[in-house]
Amino acid sequence: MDYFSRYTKTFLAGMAVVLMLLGCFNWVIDPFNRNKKVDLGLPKEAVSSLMNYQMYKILQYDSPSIIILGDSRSDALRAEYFADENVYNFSYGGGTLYEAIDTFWFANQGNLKTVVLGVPFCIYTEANSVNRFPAAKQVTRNPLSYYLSPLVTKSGVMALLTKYTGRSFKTERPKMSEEQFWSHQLGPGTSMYYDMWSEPKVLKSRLIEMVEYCDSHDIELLFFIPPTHKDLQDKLIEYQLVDQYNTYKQTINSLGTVLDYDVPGEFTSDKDNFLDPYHFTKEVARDIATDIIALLSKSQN
Amino acid sequence: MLFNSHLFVFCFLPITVVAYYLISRVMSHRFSLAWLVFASLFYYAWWNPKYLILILGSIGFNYMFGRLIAQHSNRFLISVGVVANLGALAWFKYAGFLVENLNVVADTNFHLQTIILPLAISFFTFQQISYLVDVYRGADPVRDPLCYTLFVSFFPQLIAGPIVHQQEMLPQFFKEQISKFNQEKFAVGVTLFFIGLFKKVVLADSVAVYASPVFEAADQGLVISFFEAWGGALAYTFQIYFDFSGYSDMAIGLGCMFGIKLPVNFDSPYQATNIIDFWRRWHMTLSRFLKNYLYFPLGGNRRGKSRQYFNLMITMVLGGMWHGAGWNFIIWGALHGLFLVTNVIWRKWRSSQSNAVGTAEIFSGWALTFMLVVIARVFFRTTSFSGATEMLKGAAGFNGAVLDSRLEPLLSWLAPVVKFEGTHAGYFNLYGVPWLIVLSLICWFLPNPVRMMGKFRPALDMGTGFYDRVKTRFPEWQPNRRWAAVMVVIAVLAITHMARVSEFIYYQF
Repeated sequence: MDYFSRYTKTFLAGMAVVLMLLGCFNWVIDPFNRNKKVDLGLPKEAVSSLMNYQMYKILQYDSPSIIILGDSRSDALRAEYFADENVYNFSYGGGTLYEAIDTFWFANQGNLKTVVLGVPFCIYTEANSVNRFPAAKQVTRNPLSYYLSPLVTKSGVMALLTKYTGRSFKTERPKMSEEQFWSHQLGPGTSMYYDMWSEPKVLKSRLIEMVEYCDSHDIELLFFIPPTHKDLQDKLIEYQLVDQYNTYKQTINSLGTVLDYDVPGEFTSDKDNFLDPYHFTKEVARDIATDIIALLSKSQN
Repeated sequence: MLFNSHLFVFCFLPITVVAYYLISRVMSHRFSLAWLVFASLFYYAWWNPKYLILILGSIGFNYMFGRLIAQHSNRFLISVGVVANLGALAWFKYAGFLVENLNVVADTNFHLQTIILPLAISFFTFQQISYLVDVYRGADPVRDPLCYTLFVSFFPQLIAGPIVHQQEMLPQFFKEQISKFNQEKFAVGVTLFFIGLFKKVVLADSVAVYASPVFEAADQGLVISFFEAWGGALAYTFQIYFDFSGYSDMAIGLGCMFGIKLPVNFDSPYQATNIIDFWRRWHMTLSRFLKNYLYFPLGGNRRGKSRQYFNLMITMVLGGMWHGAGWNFIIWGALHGLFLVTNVIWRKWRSSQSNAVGTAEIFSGWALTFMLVVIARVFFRTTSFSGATEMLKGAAGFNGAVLDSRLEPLLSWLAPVVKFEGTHAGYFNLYGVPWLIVLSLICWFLPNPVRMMGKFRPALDMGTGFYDRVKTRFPEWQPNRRWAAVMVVIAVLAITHMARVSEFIYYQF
């Protein structure tokens, strides 16, 4: 009988010690700034946003009156571009519309007055149903799941390595010239979205649910369609998605106020306004932010 | 409150275990059983307190009916008892499905409000039907309402089995030793619990992320290519095994922690060499129920070949329906019925041949069985018939075979039949491949945890000779420091992966 007793004690005590060590490490390093108790001068923001942007943004969220949702194009609209407005950018690079909608329901904590939702055509698809938000929310839901999370430990180790060895974990862009990268984004980068694009049904109903909720709770919902370069706009013909694109525009317009920048013309033909066919420059981001502020003040008046 | 939640592992379980043994020491065995009943009902009510009335009503009804049947041994009474149980199950589980199909067939427009399926209703209903039938067949009814309530509601097996019989549970409840702390049972129980937790949160949940996108895409009518279909179907085949067998290991482990043995529910089913063998190893307590309370009463194999085949088909179709109200479950059951009938015919023919069964035949049997199980699983996982056919079309190669262009240098010899396209992995992520390899090795070559601990008999073998089968070369579990160290790693991995909470697949049944 002694064998069993010794085994159980060794097993349970060993487990408790390892878990406590892990917990203490995560509590002290706290790479996602959950408790903000110990400041070791670690590059927490850079590392944790790289490891799990959703989790990082959930933990920094402080119930502002305006939130910005969407993918990397929305993420480019930095909060500081909105001057004195109480804005929180709750968008994620590589984010999906499913994630944006889930983020809305999470962010809706009473103080919310305005939601700016970026809906580019490539994420308005049923095919991309990736949703990392629930998993990120689960890790942040209670102290145990956070302090015992392997992701938090990994991020903590990376933060330490970054500070003390100078090692960078940032994902490097493929080694290509700007022109090659432009072609890459138009080629495989576009095929990834357009080959599998499919008319959203579930997604559309979730969007409508969100619109109806905002209507009935006095939350202003503003859609914006980010600009894409003419080269990408032309790809719609190649992938035979013109009709679907027109239906998408009609649908978004029917849902509420829309700031549509994705229109053929001088602006979207000028490569200087873009980093690649999908992403606009910082200057354009500032202009869009100014337009949004103007539209919001107009509607408030 | 899931077994794989912090609340359960760090709060509910320690409190329940400590109080159980403390109450027994300070008060009496009966009080500790009462505590276990209270804890079990609390556990059930945590999900939805409203349905506590339903389970208590069901327990009360069946307890009274069992006693009535014992007194009068009346065919009418047993029929009423069984019909009442099935009626409740039909209402909660199948009413929506029946109305939906009636509307299609008769062009009517009946509308039924959404009925929430009470947790565990399929399990506790089947358990109590078997109780009533056993009493009708001459077994002693349970006279003690406390023990009867515990027999139905014992929380380790309440939600998703194993489906237990009164003959194997009640005698244990009456033994006072079960509530006296036993080092051996506790050590075995806590080990099995954490192995089960590891199987669920580390193995099943990790491979689930590779299965779900493929099946979701198929259900949306999107085109699934060859590798995506097989990748998704294999990932789900492993996911459901590690999910459900993980749950069963946890249930058996929890039972041991309270000094109570539950029946074994899995015996490495993916090592089966034919479909009959598979059903002797997969969800063994459901197979036992279906055999004893459906297949045998229908006549089993005693009324001629045709009738036997018919009985097998009926049993498996109803077994499929037990899992859920949907045509896909019915098709899944029917497919397994068909496989079983074919297996019975083959076996008869094979036994008439003089040559002995060779290694190649055993291997072919195993490969064919596994493939059929994987194919049938497609119907189990998809939510629509069109989704299943889309998957099967893909698996049969009708939608072509596409691979990530980054694999082209490695697999260029496949170029005549495979298209290398894009830098995305499609619906099945290539990172899932190492998972599939590791999980298949575990399923095919490792013994399951209950067998590894066979020396200590952690579960009831239900007369299957489970513990007497050939032992593998894998080392048996021993209560020593080496195993304690292994278990620390397993438990820490399991607990740290509990950050992502996911329900057990069989909770929905």
